Amino acid sequence: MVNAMHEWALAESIIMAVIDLAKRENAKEVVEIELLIGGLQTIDLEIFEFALNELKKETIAKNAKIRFVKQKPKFKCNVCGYEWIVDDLNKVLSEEEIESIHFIPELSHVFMKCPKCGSNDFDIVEGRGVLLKGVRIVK
Amino acid sequence: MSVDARIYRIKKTLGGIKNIIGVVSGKGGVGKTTISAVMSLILSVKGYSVGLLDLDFHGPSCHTILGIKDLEYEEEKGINPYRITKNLYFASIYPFVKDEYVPLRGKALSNALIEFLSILNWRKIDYLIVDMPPGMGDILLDIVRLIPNSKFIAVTTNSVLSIQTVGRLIKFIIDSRLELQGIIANMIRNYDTRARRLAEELSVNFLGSVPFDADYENTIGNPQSILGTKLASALKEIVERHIT
Repeated sequence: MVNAMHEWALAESIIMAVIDLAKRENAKEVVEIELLIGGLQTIDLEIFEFALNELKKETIAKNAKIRFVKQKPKFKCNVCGYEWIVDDLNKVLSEEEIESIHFIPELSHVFMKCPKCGSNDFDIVEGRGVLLKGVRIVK
Repeated sequence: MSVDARIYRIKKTLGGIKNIIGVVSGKGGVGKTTISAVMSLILSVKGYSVGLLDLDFHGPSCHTILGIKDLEYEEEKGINPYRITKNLYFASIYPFVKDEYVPLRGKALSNALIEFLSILNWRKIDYLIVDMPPGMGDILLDIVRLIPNSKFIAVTTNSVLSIQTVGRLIKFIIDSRLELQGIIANMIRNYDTRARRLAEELSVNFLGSVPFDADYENTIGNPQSILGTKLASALKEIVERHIT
C-alpha cells in the first residue's frame, strides 16, 4: 500500500463535519478547529494538516486555525484491570501491524495483548485516533 | 463534543450506490457468504457494476470463495475497494488481519466498522452486496443506523432452528422500517416448506430456493467454476426474478 494517502479520507470527514456544524449553528465563520490526535493511528500529521488546509479552502472554515492535541495510546485490560500506555508502537508491533492499525485502530486487539495477563480483551481508553474535539465559530 | 465526523464521509461514499443489499441470517452456517459472493458474481456477469463488502469481521471468508489470495488495497484519498474484474469490486478486513483471530466486541467492533466504511471509496455502482455477520449484533444495528436505505435479503436453511432465528431477525427488520426483499431458502435437499411458511406468516416475499449442491465445495476459489454449479443456476433465477 502507498503510505499516507489515507489521511485525506480522515481530513475529509473532519471538514464535512465542521461545515455541517457551522451551518447548523448559523455561523458566519469557523475560527478554530481543535483535533485530538491519538498516537495509535500513527497518522502523518504533515499530510493530514495539508489535506485539512486544502479541503477547507473556499468553505466557511477557510480561515480556521487548526489546533492539534496529541495523545499517547492508553489501554485498560478488561480481564485483569491493568492499565498501560504505549510510548513507541515500533517497540511492540511490526511495521505491517502498525499499518493495519493505522487504517483501523481497533485492529490493535488483533496484534496487541495486555502486558500483564496476555489478554486481547482490553479497551482503548484514549489516544485512539483522530477526533473532532471542538469547533469555535463566530455568529 | 459528541460528533462522529466519520459518519459524514460514509454518507458521501455510499451515496452514489443505487442498491445496498445486506445479506442476513439468524444463525451462522446457513450460507450467507456463499449467497453474497455468488450473487455478486452473477450480477457482475450480467453487466452491472457491483461491490461485495465482507462485514463478517470475526470470520471474513468472501475472499476464499472468490479465490483472492494476495489482496492489497490501493490508497487514493482513502482506500479503493479491490478490483476483481472490470465491474466487480471487493472490500474486506482480510488484508489487514490475514488469518489472525479478531477479538472485537461492542464499542470496538462498532468503531472498527465505522472506520472501515469511512475510508472506503466506493464508486457509483449499481449494487453493493453486504455479507453480514450472523444474528442481530453490533454490525447489523450499526448498518441499520448508518445506512437507512439498505435493503435486506434473509437467508435460512429449512432447519427449524434456522427458521426460528431468522423469523426474529425479519421482525426486527420490519420493525426498523427497513426494506426486506425477501427470504432465500438455502441448502435445500428436498423441501423448503418451512421457509415458505415463514414468508407467508410474516407477509414477506419468498424469493426462492437454492439446492444443496455437493459439487459447490470443490469450486470454491474458482469463480468461473462456481458459476457453472446448480447452486449458481438457482441463484441466477432468483436474481433475475427479484433483484434486477
